[in-house]
Amino acid sequence: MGRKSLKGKDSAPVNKTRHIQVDSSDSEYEGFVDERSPASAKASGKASSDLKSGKKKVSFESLKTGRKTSFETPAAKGDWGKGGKDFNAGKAGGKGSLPQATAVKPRLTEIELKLELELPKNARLLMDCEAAEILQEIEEHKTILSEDPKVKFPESFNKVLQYTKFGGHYINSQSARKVLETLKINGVNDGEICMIGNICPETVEEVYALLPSLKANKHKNEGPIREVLASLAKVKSSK
Amino acid sequence: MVFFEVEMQWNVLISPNELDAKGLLLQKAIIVHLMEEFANRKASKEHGYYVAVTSLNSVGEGKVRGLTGDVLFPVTFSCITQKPAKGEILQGSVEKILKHGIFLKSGPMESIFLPEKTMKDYRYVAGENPVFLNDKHSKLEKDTIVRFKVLGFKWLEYDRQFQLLATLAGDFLGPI
Repeated sequence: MGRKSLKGKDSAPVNKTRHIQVDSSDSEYEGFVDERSPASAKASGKASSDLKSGKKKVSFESLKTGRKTSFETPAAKGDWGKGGKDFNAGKAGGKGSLPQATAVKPRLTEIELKLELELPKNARLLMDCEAAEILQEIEEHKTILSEDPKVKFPESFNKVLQYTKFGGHYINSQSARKVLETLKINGVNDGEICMIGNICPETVEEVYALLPSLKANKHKNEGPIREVLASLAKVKSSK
Repeated sequence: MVFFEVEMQWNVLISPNELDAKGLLLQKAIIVHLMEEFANRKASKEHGYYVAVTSLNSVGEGKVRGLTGDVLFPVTFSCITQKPAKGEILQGSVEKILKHGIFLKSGPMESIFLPEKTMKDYRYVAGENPVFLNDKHSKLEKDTIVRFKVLGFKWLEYDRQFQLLATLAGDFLGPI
């Protein structure tokens, strides 16, 4: 596929300030970033040449609207991996999003990356354990259904079934769901509840490390989260 | 990857030779065709990977296609899908190790890339079976289970699958 020119349309002094302007991208991408080897980055002061040798493309959903976003890279060492790349591009469902033109220096190794979850319409979010139970039931019917050679199961079915079995944590999903629902009144959203249920963290520190968005309300939710983890521990199956 | 239970409406085409049986067989034919279509479509950008049909909710009035005699039924059904989400925590196993990163697989996703730069203190160790090692002698090699965070993902229309970019930057991430 064609590489996008990195120079942008106006002749900004790319060499000196190391400003990079990235052109508009395909709408399919959601914050997918190009990785380049550091060696090529040192080649010259020009931003565009840095990106010639790599094999992956750079695309940012945020630029779908055709506007340009400029990024500042730290001048040191030309290490692109740690350069300022804006990751806040994604929105599930391919809707247009406003470019974050003023985001400066978010890193590829962004630890504070928050969960972005958009529910498609007519969809309900399920925790892994809930899906596991449903899929297990279908698996049991599958042997009967498969007697008919015309019945076809999706390729992903088996892989996903294995995936859910691997993560199996709780005795049953209803008890886990009941416990986690209590977090809703403390401002924890559905996506975060789902993550906590799926990850099954052992300590509150782990929760905050993995779901940094919860830190904002730490004073409010720390106690409840601690309680919930304790309750979840009780309904965990011993595996 | 998060799971969704989604209600969707699709059209199922039934050919005339399946029609002239009794009502029960017709329903079976509709289900079989629906499952086939579901399996063939594999995934969508909006809902993610199609995992399984859970229930047939309603079947609308069939419309006969003039020339062929086939009948088109609008069908509403519920199904389970699985889709990656940015910023989420996942587990996967190491598939392939390269100098600039590792390929992982997780559930239905076979195209997850973990760039070397996100792997904190791990260094590439070349060899017949290359691995990534860190100072604490923790090793990333084939089939190691790794917990990672999703940095971003891409929908590949042609292949009808997602491609994920992962990171190990952060506490509690890494091999398990």
